[in-house]
Amino acid sequence: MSVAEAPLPSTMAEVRCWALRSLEDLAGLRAELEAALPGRAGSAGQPDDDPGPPLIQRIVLVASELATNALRHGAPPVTVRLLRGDDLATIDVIDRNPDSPPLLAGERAPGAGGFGLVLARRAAHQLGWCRTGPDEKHVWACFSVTPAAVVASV
Amino acid sequence: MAHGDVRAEDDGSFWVMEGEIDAAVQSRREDVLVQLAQQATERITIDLTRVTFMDSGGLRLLYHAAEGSPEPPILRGVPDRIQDLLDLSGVAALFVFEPVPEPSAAGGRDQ
Repeated sequence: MSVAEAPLPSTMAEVRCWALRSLEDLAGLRAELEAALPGRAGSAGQPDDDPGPPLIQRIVLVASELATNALRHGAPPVTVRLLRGDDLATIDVIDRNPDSPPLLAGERAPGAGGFGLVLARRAAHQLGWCRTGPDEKHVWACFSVTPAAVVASV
Repeated sequence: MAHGDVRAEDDGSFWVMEGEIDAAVQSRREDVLVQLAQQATERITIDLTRVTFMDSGGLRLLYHAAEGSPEPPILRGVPDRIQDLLDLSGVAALFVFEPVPEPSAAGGRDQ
């Protein structure tokens, strides 16, 4: 099962960018991403009485999954970008292996390869991939900053 | 620098996870944990009290415990963030959950 090939959501501006060299860089990425996400204390505007999972944590989880896949299965260098639009936040992970589209594990067990993408698809509002230039592959996950929309997509 | 780790005690039937359990930790610890899980003769208990983050790399380690443990593994002190991951991944039914220990017991059952 493949991830839909689709261009990055338009009208998004880059907020931050990280270059990753190895799996040991993931912890630093997550810490800086969490700090860079807007509405950190309020979990992107999530009401205090909302029992749903904090949106920020879901975004960090998905970034970790996509970055791990790029480091393991893509070609270096690997770059992670945080993009923001009016009511969207997007994680865009770029590697240099455009001929290897991301593959979902389907209903495989969580011990199987590709399960990270399954998690990403469940946690994100939209998941897609695209090519740019001669050698860039983007795998992106888009989140509505309206928490209810993200929870509803699970 | 390691941001997370897993250590095994009690002949491999008690695992303590701490910090951020991701693919980096998985790559360092998976081989030995698979071996311990496959050799387990007692139910495996995993303390998650001090886990601050987990992704599919950590889930894979939990799954190895579920495959090898003679009874469903006990997950002790599961933080809310990790409970969300377990629910999202659909694996919660593979485990038995124990409540968060009292503060005086945090960090290990022998303390």
